[in-house]
Amino acid sequence: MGERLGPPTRGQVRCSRVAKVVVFACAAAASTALAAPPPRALAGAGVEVTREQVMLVPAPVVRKVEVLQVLTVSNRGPAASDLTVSVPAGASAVRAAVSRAGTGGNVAAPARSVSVAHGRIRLTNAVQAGASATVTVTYTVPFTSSDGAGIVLHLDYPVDMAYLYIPVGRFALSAPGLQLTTQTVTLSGLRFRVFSRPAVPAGSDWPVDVEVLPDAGPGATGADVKGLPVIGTDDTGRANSAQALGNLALAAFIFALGLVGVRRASRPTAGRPATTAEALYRSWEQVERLRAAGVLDETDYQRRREQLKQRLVAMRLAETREDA
Amino acid sequence: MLTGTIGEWALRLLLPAIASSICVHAAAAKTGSPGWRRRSRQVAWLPFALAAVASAALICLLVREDWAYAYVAEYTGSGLPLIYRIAAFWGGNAGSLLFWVLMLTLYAAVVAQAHHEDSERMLPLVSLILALMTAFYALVVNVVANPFARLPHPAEAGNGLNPLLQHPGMTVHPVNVYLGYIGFSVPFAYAMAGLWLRRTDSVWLTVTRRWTLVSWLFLSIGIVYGAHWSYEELGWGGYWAWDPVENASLLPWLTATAFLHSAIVQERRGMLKAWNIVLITLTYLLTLLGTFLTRSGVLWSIHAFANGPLGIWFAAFVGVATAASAALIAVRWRTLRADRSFEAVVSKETGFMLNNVLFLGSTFAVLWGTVYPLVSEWAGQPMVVGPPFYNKVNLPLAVCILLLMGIGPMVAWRRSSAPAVGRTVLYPMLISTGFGLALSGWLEHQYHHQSALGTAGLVAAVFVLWTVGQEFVQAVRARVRLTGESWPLSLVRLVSRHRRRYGGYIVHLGVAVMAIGIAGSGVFHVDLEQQLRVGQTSAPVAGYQATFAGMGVEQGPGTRRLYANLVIRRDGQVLGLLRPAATFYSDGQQPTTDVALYSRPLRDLYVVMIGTSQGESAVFDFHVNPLVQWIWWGGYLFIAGTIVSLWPERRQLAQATWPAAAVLAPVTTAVDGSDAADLYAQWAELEYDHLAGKVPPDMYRRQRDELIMRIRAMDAASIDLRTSLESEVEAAVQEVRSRAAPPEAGDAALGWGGGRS
Repeated sequence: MGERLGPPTRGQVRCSRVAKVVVFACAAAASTALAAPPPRALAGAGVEVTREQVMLVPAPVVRKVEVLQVLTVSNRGPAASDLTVSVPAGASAVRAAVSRAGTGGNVAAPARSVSVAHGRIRLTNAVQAGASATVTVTYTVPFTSSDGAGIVLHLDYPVDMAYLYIPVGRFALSAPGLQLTTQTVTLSGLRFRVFSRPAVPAGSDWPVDVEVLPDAGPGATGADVKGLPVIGTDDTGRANSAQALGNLALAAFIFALGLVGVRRASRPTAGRPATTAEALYRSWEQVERLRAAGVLDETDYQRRREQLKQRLVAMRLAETREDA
Repeated sequence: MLTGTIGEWALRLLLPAIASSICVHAAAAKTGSPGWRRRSRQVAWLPFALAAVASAALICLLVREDWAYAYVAEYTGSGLPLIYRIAAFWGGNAGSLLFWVLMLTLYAAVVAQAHHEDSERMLPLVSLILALMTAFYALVVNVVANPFARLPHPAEAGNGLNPLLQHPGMTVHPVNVYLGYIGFSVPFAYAMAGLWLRRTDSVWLTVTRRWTLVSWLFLSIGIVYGAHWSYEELGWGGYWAWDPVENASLLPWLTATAFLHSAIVQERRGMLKAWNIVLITLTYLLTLLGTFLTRSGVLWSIHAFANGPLGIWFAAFVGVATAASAALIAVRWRTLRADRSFEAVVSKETGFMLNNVLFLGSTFAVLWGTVYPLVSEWAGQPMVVGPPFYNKVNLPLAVCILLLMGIGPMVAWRRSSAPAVGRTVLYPMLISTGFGLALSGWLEHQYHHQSALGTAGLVAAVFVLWTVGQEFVQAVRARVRLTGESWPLSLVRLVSRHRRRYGGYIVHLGVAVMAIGIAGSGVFHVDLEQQLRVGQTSAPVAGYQATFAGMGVEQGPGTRRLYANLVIRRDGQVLGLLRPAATFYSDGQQPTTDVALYSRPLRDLYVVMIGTSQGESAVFDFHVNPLVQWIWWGGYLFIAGTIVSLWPERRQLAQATWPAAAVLAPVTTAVDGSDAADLYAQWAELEYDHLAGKVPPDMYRRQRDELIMRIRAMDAASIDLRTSLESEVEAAVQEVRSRAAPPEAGDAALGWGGGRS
C-alpha cells in the first residue's frame, strides 16, 4: 500500500473513473460470453416440419408418460438432409423411424442410420431433396412431480402446425401458445382431446405439462358428515351473479348520482338572478373584477364589457318602447 | 356480422369526428365568439355518439358470443353467465380502451354543457384538452388494439373468461378503477385551462369538486373491490400484496386524497394554489403511469394485461403530457401566488398541509418501490422490492395520518393555539389510548402476537372514531341550542345542510374502521400449513380445529371440482363443514384453488387445499384473520360518506343558516360562489368553531369583527360598482335616445365607447 500524499487531481479522478468503466465493461462482456449457450449447428437449410403430432399417454400407476411424436418433414433444399430431433431430459426407451415419400409417390424406406446421443436423435440422410418424410419417435418420460410430468419439446426446424393429444378424462394438459379451441378424436378406441398451436419457431423450447387430475380415492366423503351444515361464504353461481349484478348497480348509481350532481351544480339555479338585466349586471361586475385582478387582458376586457353594455342598453330601450 | 361492421365503422369515424371537434374547440377558444362556442358545445356529443354505437355493438357481439371476432373469442366461452359476458367489455385490453373512450367522450360532452363563472372562456379550452386526450385513445383503439379485429376463420368455441376473474368483485373492480382514472381528466383539464387563462383562483376547484369526488370514490371502490377479490380468490390469505398494479391504482388515490384536502384550503382561504395545480397534475400523470404499467407488460402482475405493443404508445403519451403540463406550470408560475399566507403555526390550514406532506411521502415511497425493479434492471442489477419495504415506510405514515385525522376537526381555521388544541385533544386521546390498548391486549391474548406499530394503529383509529363522534355530538348540541329542534331531527338536518363536511366525517369514520381491520388482520393473523390424512384432526389454530372427513368430486361442464370435507370445531363445539376445493379444466387452463371462508365479525377462518395425494391425504393452509371483515364494512361506510358528500344539494347562502345575516341585514347582495359568500361561509365556520370551543373567546371576537368589517367593505364596493355601471348604461341610453330624436338630433347609431379606468 502506498502512502497517500494528497487529494487526487481532477485528471486522476477522471482516469480512475474511465478505468472503472472499462473494467466494468470488460467484466460484463466476459460474463455475457461465458453465460451464453454454446454455439449450435444450424438446422438444415430448406428443411421444415409441416405437421408435428405428439400423443401423450400418462400411466399413473407406473408414474410415466408414454410419448409418440410424429413429424411430417419436407426438404426444399438442393440436397438430402439429416434430421435431428431432441428428446426431453430423462427420456428412456427412445426409438425412431423414418418413412420417406418420393416425388413420384410414397416410398417407405428406413433411414440409413439412427443414432441417439445426449438427448438428441440423429437420422442420417433422412429426407431427400425436394421430398418429404415422416419421422416417428417414441419414448417414455417419468413423472417429475407427484401428479404429472413436465416435458420440453424442442425442434431445430420451424413447425407449421403442432398438435398435442391427451386422453380425455382424468388428465389435464397445459402449454403456452395453444389455440383457443380443442377437438376430440378417437384413436384405437381411446378418445383424445387435441390441442393445436400454429407456427412454432425453429429452435424454441416448448414446455408441456401433463397432469393426472386428483381423484376422491378411498377417502371419498362418507356418511359421517351427513347432516352437518356447509358453513362459509356462498360461492354458488347464482349468488356470484347476484353479487356481481349488485356491484354493477352500485357503480351505475354512483355514476348517475355524479352526473346529476355535476349537471345540477353547473346550472345557475340557486342564486340565479331574477331578471336578465340583473344577470347581465352581475356578469359585467365579474368582468370588472377579473380585470382588476389582472386575469383579463385589455382587448378581451373591452370586448366583453361592450357586449354586456350593448345588451343592457338595448334592453332598456326596448322597455321604454313597451312603456310608451 | 352487421353488428360488428356497424361497430367497426363507428370506431373508424371516431377519429375524424374527434379531429373536427378539436378544430371547433380551438376556434371557439381563439375567437371567443358565441357562434363558435355554441358549435363547440354541440360538437362534443358527436364523438360520444360514435363511441356509444361502437360500445353497444361490441356488447352485442359479446352477449351473442360471436366468435368471428378475436376479442369475443378470447374473453367469452360457452356457459359464461350473461353478467360476465357484459363485463368482458372492459375485461380485456382492447375492450377496456373502447370503454375508456366511451367514458371520456361522455365526460367531455357533459362538461361542454356546463354554465359557470367564466365558462365562456374556460369551456372551449377544457373541451379542447379533453378532445386531445380522447384523440390519443381513439387512435390506439383504431390502430393497435381494435376490439373488432376478426379472426381468419370463426372460432368454434371461445376461450372463456379466466376463472379467477369470474368473481363479483372482479366484475366491477376494473370498471371502477377505469372510471376513477378517466374522471381525473376533467379536473386536470380545468386546471390547465385555468392556468392558460391565468384563472388560478378557486373557480376551477369549485366547478370540478364533484368530478374529483366521483373519480376518487370510483378509484377507492376499485381498490377495495380489488383487495376483496384478491382475498377471496387468490388463496394466499391476504388482500394486499403491494403488487405493481395494485400500487399503480394506489398512487393516484394518494395524491387525489391529498388534493381533496388541500382544495378545501384554497376554496376557503385562497392558499395553496400552486400546490393544488401540482397535485392534480401529479394525479392525472399517475393515472397515465398506472395505465402504462398495466398495459405495457414492463412489470409482471396478475392484474396486468399480457405484453403488447401498447407500452410505447402510453410511454410517449405520458412523456408528452408531463412535458406539456410542466411547461405550462412553469410559464404561469407567477400567477399561482397565494392570496394570503399562513396566519399561525397551529391552524386547520397547517394541519391540511401536514396531511398533504404525509400523503406525498407515502406516494413517493410507493412510486419508488414500484419502479425500482425497472430502474435496477436498467442499471444491470435486477432487484425486486417486497412488502416489508412498503410496510416499513407506509405503516408509520398511515398512523400519523390517522392521528391528524383525529386532531384536524378539533383545530380552528386561520388561528388556533397549541394549548387550546392540547386541551381539546387531551381527553379524547386518553380515552382512545385506553380503548386502543384494551383492544390490542385482547387481540394479543387471543392470537399471541405483539406489535407496537399495530397497537399504535389501533389507538389512532379509535382516536379518529372518538373525535369524529364527538364532532357530531357537539354540532348537534349546538344546533339544538340554536334551533330548539329534537336531536334526531337536528342530526338529519345538520348532515343534510352540510353534506360536504359531514359526508367527509363519515368517510373518516370508514377509514378508521378499515384501519382497525388492517391493523387486526395484518398484525395478529395466525396461519398453519398441515398435511392431514382422512380422519385426522388438525392442530388448533386460534381456537379452531378441522377434522379431514374425506373428499368428493363434482363434475361440471368442462370442469372437475375436487373438494375436501373439513369438520370445523371451535372450543370443542362443531360448527359445520368447510369445503376448500381445487377446480381442474379440460381446456388446458391452469387449475385454480377455491378458498373456503368462514367469516365472522371478529375473525375469518380461511382454508385453502394446496395439494392432495391419492385421495387419502391432503395439505391444507389454515389462516385465521382477525377483524378482516371490518375492512369491507369500513369500505361501505366510506362509500356512504362520499355519497352523502356527493348528494346534490339546494344551494343556499351561508347567512341563511346562521344568525350572522341578521347583523348585516338588509345588505344581502352576496351570491353563491362570490367573494362575499365566501366571507359569510368563513363567518359561519367561525361561529361553529366558537360554539364547539375550538377558538378562545378573544380570538373569536377579533376574527368576527374583522370578517364583519370585510363583508361591509365588500358590500359597499359592490354597491359602488353597481351604481357606476347603472349610470354608465343610463348615459348610453340617453345618448341613443337623443340621436334617435328628429333629424336635427342626429342619427340613431350607437356610439358609446371607452372603458372604465
